[in-house]
Amino acid sequence: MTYRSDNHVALENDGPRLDIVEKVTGKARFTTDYYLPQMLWAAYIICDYGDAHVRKSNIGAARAVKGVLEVQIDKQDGQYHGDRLGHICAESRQALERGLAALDLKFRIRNPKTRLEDERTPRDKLTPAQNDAEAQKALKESALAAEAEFQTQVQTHVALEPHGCVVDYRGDSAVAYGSTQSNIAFRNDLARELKLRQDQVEFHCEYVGGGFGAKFGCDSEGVLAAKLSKKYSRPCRVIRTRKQEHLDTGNRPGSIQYMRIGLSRDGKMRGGKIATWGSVGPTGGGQASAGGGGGGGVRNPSRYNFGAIAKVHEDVSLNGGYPRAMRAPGNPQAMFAIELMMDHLAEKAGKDPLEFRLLNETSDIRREMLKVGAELIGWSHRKPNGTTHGPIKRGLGVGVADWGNGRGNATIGINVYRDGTVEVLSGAQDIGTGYRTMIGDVVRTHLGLPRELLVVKVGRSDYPEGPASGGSMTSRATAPKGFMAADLAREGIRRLVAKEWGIQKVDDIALENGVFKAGGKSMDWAKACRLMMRDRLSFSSAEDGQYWKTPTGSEAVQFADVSVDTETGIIRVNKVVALQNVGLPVNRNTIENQICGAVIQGLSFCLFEDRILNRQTGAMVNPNMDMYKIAGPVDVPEIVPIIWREDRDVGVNSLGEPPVIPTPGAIATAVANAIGTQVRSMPLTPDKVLAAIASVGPAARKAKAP
Amino acid sequence: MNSFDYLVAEQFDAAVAEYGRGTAALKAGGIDLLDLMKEGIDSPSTVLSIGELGEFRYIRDENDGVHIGCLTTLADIGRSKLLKIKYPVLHHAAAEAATPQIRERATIAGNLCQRPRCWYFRQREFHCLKKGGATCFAVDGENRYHAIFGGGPSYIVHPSNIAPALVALDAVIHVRSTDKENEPIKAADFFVLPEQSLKTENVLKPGQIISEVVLPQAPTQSATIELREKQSFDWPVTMACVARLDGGWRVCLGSVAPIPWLSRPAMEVLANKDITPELAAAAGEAAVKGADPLADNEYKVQLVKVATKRALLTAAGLEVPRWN
Amino acid sequence: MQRDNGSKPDGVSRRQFLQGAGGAAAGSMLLGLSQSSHGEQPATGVTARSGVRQYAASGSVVTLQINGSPAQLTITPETTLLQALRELLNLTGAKEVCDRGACGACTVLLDGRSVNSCMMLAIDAVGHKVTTIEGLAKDGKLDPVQRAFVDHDACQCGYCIPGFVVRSRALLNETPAAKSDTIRHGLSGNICRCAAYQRIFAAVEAAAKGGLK
Repeated sequence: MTYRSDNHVALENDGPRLDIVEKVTGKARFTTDYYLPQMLWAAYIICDYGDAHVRKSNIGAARAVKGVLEVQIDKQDGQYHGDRLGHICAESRQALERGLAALDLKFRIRNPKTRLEDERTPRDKLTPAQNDAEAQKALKESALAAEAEFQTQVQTHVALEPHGCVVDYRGDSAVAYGSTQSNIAFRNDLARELKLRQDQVEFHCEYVGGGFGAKFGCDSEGVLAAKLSKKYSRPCRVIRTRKQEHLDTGNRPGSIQYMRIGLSRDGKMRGGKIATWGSVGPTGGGQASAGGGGGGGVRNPSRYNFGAIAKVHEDVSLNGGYPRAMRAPGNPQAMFAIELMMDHLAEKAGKDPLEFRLLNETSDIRREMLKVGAELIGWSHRKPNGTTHGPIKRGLGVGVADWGNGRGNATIGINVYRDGTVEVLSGAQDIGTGYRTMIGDVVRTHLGLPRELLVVKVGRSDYPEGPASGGSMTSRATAPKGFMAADLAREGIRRLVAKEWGIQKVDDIALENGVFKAGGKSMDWAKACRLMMRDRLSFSSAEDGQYWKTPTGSEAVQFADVSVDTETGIIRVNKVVALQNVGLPVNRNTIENQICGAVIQGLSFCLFEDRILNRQTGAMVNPNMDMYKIAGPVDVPEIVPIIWREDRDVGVNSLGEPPVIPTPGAIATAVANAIGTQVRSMPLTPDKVLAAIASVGPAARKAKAP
Repeated sequence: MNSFDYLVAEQFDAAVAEYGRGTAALKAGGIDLLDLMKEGIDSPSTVLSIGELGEFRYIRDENDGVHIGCLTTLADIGRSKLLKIKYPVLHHAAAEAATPQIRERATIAGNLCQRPRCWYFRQREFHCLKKGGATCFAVDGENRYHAIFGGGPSYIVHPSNIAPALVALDAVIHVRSTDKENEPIKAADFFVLPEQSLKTENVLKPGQIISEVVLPQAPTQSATIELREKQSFDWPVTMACVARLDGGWRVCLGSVAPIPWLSRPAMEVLANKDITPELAAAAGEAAVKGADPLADNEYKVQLVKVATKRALLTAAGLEVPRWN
Repeated sequence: MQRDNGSKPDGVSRRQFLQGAGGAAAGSMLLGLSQSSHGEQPATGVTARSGVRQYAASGSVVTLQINGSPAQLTITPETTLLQALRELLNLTGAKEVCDRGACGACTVLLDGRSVNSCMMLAIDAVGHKVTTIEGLAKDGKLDPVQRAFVDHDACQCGYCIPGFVVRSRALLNETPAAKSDTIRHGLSGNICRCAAYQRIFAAVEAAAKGGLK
């Protein structure tokens, strides 16, 4: 055995991402950066209110604006703020803006449904779950039971690059640029819209400014850009405004979660009832109970062993924009409720919350992670709820998560050029996770070559097939193919060396640190490549082969340390310890960056973000980036990312979603520990914190006294 | 934005004359006006810029007080050692307002004259009372950030961070127009409640331009406390600015009323006493007198108590709760 | 086109710079669209009345100093600096994200200080030196702030990063030895939705310690 057929990629890579220079110099070209000659500008005309009818429009005036090519209203009724009523197309941005201003739509507003709590079917009116009797029995047999209701708000994705597409239709072909998590789906959708074959559409998404689950397929932006580019035989650009991003490009649905859980005397959960409600768009949602897609589902129960649970769920239609998958759909909001419920139950059972979790944990790995994390955050110093001294109180909390890791389709291509350059090609897109770097590091370290020899090209439809970047799929689907393709490339060049050296058995030649060696002879990679006497050798693999390895559960455990100013209700997160199982780690930088980013997004969701619909009109009052509050630099805590137990016997697993799941639960339980009572509604804003404190304060106790 | 003719003043007198014609919207740094124009809330056909009049960008310590030129940016105030040392109440309010980038362009005069940040006012979808409509949507709508003092018929809160500091300092705002070379207006008299005027938030009449702000007297003690949901760029949900002038205390609250809210009940409690923790708390309790919260903003009553108390403690150099 | 950054980390600025300068001509042509929609001749700012210069709604010729070179543009008054840079000069590093000065993605330097180019009229930049992300690298070498961002992998999707780099540059111009707290507050006008903050803070701290040569 002269080379390791096993991969040896594990944390040896800590170089910065491959495209970092392009990104820090402004050279990286995103979809929005394409301004093509003769380009048309188009946009959707949207409904301004939750449930409204267009009573007046000035289409004539809009069409009369110089530079406006067409204005079309397709429907007079809108069901949510942002609902697409028609479109406008113009020669320039200015003409587009002026045309929209001239249109001056006036609406008659009906009675919009804006609040989940008002529109849901009451729990006792919901059809009971099939196993309701079983859960009833478990509750009856329980020594203790507790119930609580939790609420989470609607969160919008706010990818910094808006949804958008630039299409350049050229008769028998088209070149297009789109901001997407799915290169292939976007290309296919465009081909269909343009009535072209799939190969006739050259699609680019080399750089994507974030997605978070809201960017699959060519979407309404691609449809409009394709239609108009074809109609006018000119490039057409459709980029959403920030306001429209909040209104009409997806959201994490709001939820209400009721839980009643019974415990046995030893503190184990026996079972109980869970009812969840999720907010969806005006005509309903997609999947129901488990979360994801366009549905309002909540993944509650999950992670802990709850016993026999009877679960009912209702998707509740509101006059608000439709949900879309958002980073671990259905999960962070579930774990907010679940972790608070776990603490609530632990208190009932007279147990430490950590001890209670260990008792009811379903995963051995996570049990171990809980113990290690507890040590890192200093759990042994945790004070009883609400007992730290002074008006600014401190608390510790905990949250957990996991994620499924199945196989996925992908092909990795490698071209080895005569000058030694190794070109890695993948049609998958790098939406900011560092995919480009991950696949490059897989190939490079597997071959043992210096970074200088490597070029990685991703995000074009004419590159080998890549998966959609959703469900934390990209790395785990592509990495095994990367190893396989690297094996083929090594084999190919080694044959040239074997021939040159007159060696029969290629296995006798080793490739180490970029140098082929056998029997005292050596030849470096670049020199070996010059033996090929042709332009390049091409290799590819669509197979996982021996490199598909037992997946992990992407287990995650987070501990939060918070301070709460009990006089103002303002919360600051001091520190988060985030343990994350990633399977086989590839690049330390990108992994740690993902974990920390997810924690901050979870924090932002827990404390600040909120899509607020005005109850009179159904219009969102904060479709911007100032009143829609997103955690910024000063809100960021110290974060300790821990890559859990590097393991060469498991595959490269998912990372995008799992670390965002535990954070809201960890922070919310820490806040409860600090102030001595739970805030059961997100976001945890000062008004709610103060109200919770007041509900258990001296005045409240006095009021409750007989 | 709509299209407009753009006039750029090269002399202040010319700007006053031009503005006096009554045809142009006035612009200094442009932060507020551009925001309104981008949303289509304002669409002037002519815009007059005074932004190039660099000679009106100054902070000068003179015999009759500190003079701050109308085009002095919030960043300039933030950089001023003089203000930092002698007028911490103003320095803090300006240095923490908005974002570092905004502060480079936003001027003191523009900040005082900015329109409300109310989410109904700022969006074209809401034809609210302040825009000539019939409804203040805050009354029955989403009102967590709205006024608890001085509201009705509109419940906006005044958006300026520095206005409460200037009121606390008893600053004087100097105004020029073609009619009057110089009209001094006390900061406390500069802002008007919705019951007096819905179309504007201050006493400026068409054609009047702020030329400078004068701080007649350095406080012996002063401080600003801002309470925000987010610590990065956010508007305070409640602010308290306190200053001690001639021995007596002035307390002005921000983000709780349609104008910077001079809290006379708190000032009466304080009179010209030295601050003790008990007195600061009593002033905080007094400061909420007359509060009339809406459905979702009662928490601001508590915040007013705390902000007032902590501002006084800070000004007096006494201990306030600190983040660990 | 992904080139491993280990290969030629600094060989990036010159071409970008030239691209920007070359874009100026294209800029005027592009704006031909808006001229034709008004059918009027553009004119440079003219004296309307004594002491007042006028730029007509139909457009005027102005010269901006961008990254050390003059760029002559024909623009209408409502054109923001960001639009001029992106749409007319092909300097697309600065991004339009919130379009209201809340996120910092459009940050450029105006005489060395950071401003939101989305909240500023292009005409107001006349007579000032504008530096964009494309103009930070000098003589083919990354600015020390850029270098520090590279070394710390201070980025995820990268859409906000030009804004962060430019703002960090301004912050260190003013506070060369900025420490953690100053850096956080100094960057509070920028939003990174991927939240690569840990790395960004580390990069700016390192740049500050490195003395910004």
